[in-house]
Amino acid sequence: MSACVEIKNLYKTYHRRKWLFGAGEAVEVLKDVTLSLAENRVLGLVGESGCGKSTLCKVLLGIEKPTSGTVVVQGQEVAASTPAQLKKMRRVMQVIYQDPYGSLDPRMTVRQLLSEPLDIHKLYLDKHERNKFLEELVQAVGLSPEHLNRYPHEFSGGQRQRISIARALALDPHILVADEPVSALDVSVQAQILNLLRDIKRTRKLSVLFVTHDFAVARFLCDDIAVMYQGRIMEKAPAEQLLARPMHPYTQTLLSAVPEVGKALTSEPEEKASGPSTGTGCPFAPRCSKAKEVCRQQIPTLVETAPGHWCACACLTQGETNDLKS
Amino acid sequence: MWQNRIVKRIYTNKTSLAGFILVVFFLLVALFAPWLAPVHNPHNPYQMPQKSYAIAPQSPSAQNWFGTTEQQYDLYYGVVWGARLAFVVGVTVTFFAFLIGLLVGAVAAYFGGKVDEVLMRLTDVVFAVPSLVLAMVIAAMLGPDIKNMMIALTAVAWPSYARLIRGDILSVKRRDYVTAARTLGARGPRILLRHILPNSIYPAVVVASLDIGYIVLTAASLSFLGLGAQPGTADWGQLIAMARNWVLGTAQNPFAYWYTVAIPGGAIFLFVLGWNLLGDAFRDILDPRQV
Repeated sequence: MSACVEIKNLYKTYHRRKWLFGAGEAVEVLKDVTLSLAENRVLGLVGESGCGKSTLCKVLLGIEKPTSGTVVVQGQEVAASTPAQLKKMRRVMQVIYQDPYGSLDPRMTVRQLLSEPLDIHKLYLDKHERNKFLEELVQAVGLSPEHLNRYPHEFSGGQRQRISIARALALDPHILVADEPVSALDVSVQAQILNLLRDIKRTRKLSVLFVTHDFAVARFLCDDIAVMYQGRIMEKAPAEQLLARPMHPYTQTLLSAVPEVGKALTSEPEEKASGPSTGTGCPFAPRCSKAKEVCRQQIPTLVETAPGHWCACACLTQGETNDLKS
Repeated sequence: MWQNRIVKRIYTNKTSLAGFILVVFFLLVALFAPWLAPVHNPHNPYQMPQKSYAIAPQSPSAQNWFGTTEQQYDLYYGVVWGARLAFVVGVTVTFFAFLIGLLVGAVAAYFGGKVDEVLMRLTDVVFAVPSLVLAMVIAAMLGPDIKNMMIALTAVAWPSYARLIRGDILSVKRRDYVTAARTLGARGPRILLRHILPNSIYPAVVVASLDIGYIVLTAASLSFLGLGAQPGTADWGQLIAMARNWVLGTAQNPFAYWYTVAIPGGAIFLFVLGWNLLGDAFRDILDPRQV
């Protein structure tokens, strides 16, 4: 299993500028993130809002520069690329955004939207070939050729997301970054888009980084799952294993919050100590039911607890097991 | 489509329709000025015919439909060719102010940082001085002449466009579809011209349509103060300046010379009103919430 995206020890810090005087406040959004996206697999990145998922996507796409650490896409380091190298990389890696209303230019028709990547990369310049390609492209995402001449506002959210997917596929990429592509859609439409994504992934042999906050969605689509909390990876494992035997207390909390038919909802264990983490220990310690003294002092590192199953929890490194039942 | 929306909006709203009719009326007068009031001096059609050198204005008559103002300049000729001059001044000044504002605003917003800081402080300097006073100073420095007056008006009008366009670009720049274009591999000029400008320019277009009337009003003020059109020019502000001594008539009839003020004043009033109403209509049409 070779990796097409390698993220190593990635840090991203934003500096909030104070007005005129005083040093700005530094906000660490990503902390020591190490992840790899395997060829032809779907990696789910799960976490609650504001945990740094979207920032990770932006750094991966080269829109934001990392503070330290490296992102390597198919042997090429993103932050160190020249504009020409970056442009080439765009053909390899494409993205679908969360907001189907904000990600399509309202003043362009679908034809113009889908032609743009082709114009930029000078593909299908012949008018006849271009038309044929565009018609096939919209059909591949479940729209019809007559939709090409309409504007985004004439479509529903699900259809707009199909247009976004078509635009991402226009360059025939190997890697797809999907930043919460279904979270803005109705549940019934979510299923359609997820099915479409799964089909496209299979037929086009794509490697996908799929960002979501919804374990039900991740369960459906992902081969591997990484769980993120306050900018850190807490646990990563093959999807089946992580869903069946979650090791990190945070993952367990998240999973128990997923509603299931026939199962009573359990509320999150009461917070032992409220307020944000002190910054010295495990970020989850203030909310963790199993937190000990060591959790508030030391940041746990990711340790391989089972083959392919990595978890960052102090309790595990001390040779204990975090069983769901305990 | 949106073209139909403009037509519909103008027809269904009475004030929009009034504004539209007023502007079209003045436009027709301006276009057909040579037929409505045959040119008297081929070298300078804006030169008003002077019937005699008598001081006191003459009331409207068969020869001079709107009467004559001080020194027997024909008011009808002045108002008709004044409409043409108003369009020339209003449209030219607004066009160049818009262009300069667009350039400054776009550069400031796109490059940000120090460039933004320098350009925006420059606009602040222009903003800090009352615009009429600044226009007067510039016009006085350059010398009284219509062309210089237009330069002065442009110099005070561009900062508001620069600010407006900068703000809109800053907000559009952050939208997802701009990021999306960048992830497709688009570079600066393409993003700016294809995505950012088309989505951020419309508020400035609305302001421009409202501004045409205001520019003409300011131009009239400058002419009234003797800093714009010269005596004898068919300019509404100039006509009002010449009526200054006749605002009050004789002791028996205070309104004896009402036409010297009311006719050019009315023309300015209706012209500015027309553009304001039309600008309001544009604002509503281009507001996406109206859909």
